[in-house]
Amino acid sequence: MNKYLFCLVSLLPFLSFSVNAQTPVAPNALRVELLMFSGRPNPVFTITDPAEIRDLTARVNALPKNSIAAAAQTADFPVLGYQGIVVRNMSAASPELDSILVRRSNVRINRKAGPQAKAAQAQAASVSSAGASASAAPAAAAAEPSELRVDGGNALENHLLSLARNRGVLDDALMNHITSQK
Amino acid sequence: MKIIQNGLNRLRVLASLGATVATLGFGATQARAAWVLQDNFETNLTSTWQLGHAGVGGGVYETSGDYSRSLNNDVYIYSTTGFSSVGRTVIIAPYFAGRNVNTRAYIYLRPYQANVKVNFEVIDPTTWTYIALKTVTLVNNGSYQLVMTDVFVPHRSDVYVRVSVLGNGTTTTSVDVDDLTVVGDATPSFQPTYWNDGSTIQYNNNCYNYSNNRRTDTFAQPGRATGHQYTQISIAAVSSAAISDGLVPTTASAVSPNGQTKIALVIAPGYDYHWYRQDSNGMWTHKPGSTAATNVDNSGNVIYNPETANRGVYTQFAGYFFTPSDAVQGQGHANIN
Repeated sequence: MNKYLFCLVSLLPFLSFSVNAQTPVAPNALRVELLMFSGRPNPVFTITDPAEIRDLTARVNALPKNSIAAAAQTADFPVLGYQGIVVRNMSAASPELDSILVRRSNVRINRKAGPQAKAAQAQAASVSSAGASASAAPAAAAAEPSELRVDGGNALENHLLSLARNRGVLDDALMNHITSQK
Repeated sequence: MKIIQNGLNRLRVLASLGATVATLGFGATQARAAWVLQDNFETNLTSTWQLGHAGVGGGVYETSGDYSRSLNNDVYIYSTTGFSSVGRTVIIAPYFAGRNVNTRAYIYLRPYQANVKVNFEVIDPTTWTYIALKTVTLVNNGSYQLVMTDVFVPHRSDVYVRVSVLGNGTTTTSVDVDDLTVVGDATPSFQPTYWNDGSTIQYNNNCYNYSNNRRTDTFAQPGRATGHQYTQISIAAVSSAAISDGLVPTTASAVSPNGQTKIALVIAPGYDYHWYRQDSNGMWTHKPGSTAATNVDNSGNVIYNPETANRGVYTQFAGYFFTPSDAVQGQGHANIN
């Protein structure tokens, strides 16, 4: 099975922490890929240390949600060169989180469309069709497939780049390339 | 007495070809040409085109210029019962085993004195079954009318193209036949949904896979399949590795004689390489690494020319190459891995 197929689960815990009162299942492996090359394989490393995963989770959950206006400003087509960092869930035990895309101050959390998300969407659709106000939607309905957070100081991106350098997958030359394109 | 129309000059022949290709849907906004066979019935008419009939009918080679659409020659076929036909073998040059070539045939027909029902047929000469069939009833308006098949994919290099007049059993109907064009194209169109699956295909096929239109799920590297992978990121090194995979260097204006697809290499010196491909509409598209295939450059503009597109840090334009692509997404035939 392809290594990327395991990534679908990783975003779930972050989303669950912030939008659902149920106890989430934390991922036990996160695959971090620096999106910078087109032809060559991208630098990749894996986080399996529970403490590092908890730290990363906390960093993401601490980010405020982005506004609709800010989200609309996010470029939505692929480009050549550094495009940010994607963190993918490699754990089958936390099936709701898919990936986290980090680029400068924009952080996008992508959830896998699991049974819980589908149920929430169905419930939201039912409420909408009954003419209820948006505020009447239950908390579960907020578990959207994609959610934007804002990281004003780019701290999360810098943290991941620092981890990449510590893991030896990002040398000075590549770091300079990223810095010049950020 | 047949309706008389003077033969047309060469300019009209060329104009008709252009119109034909545009109608096919392969018309390009950029310099890109599909493989084209054009037969205006002027060369080796009787040895190239075979007459046939079953029932009451027949055919005539006409060389006076009185009835042709272009220049001097045409063929007149007529039938009362059964059918009468004229046909020839066509070699689909871009075809090789396993390659999907989108193909279409065009021909001009002029009814004589009455409406006429005709078949425009593309036949497998081994099984004698239809690869493509267009049945039309042409209105007798005194003019040549364009008849075309639907796009078909011949799974062989030789096909038999034939026009048949279908007898109505009571009166004789007939047509003049002239100017066959067959167009074959193995260059893919832009179909990003195949590549952008958000899973195995997208994440494991890079710009080299996409430009060669070959899915390997291995993030293919130039030269790796042939044991000559590049050892540095430079125009010379990556080009040499790609050539070892069988790609053929070419120019911006060159047209492949056997229907190969043009791709382009660019370099970010010491950092990375990138490939673009020219699609069937003449525009350029690409897939930056494991991200999505796209038809726009770093500025969000569609790509008419990879040499002038916004390529970010990929500042060196290395050149163009031909690759044995395929009309079906992911089914290219270059030796890459």
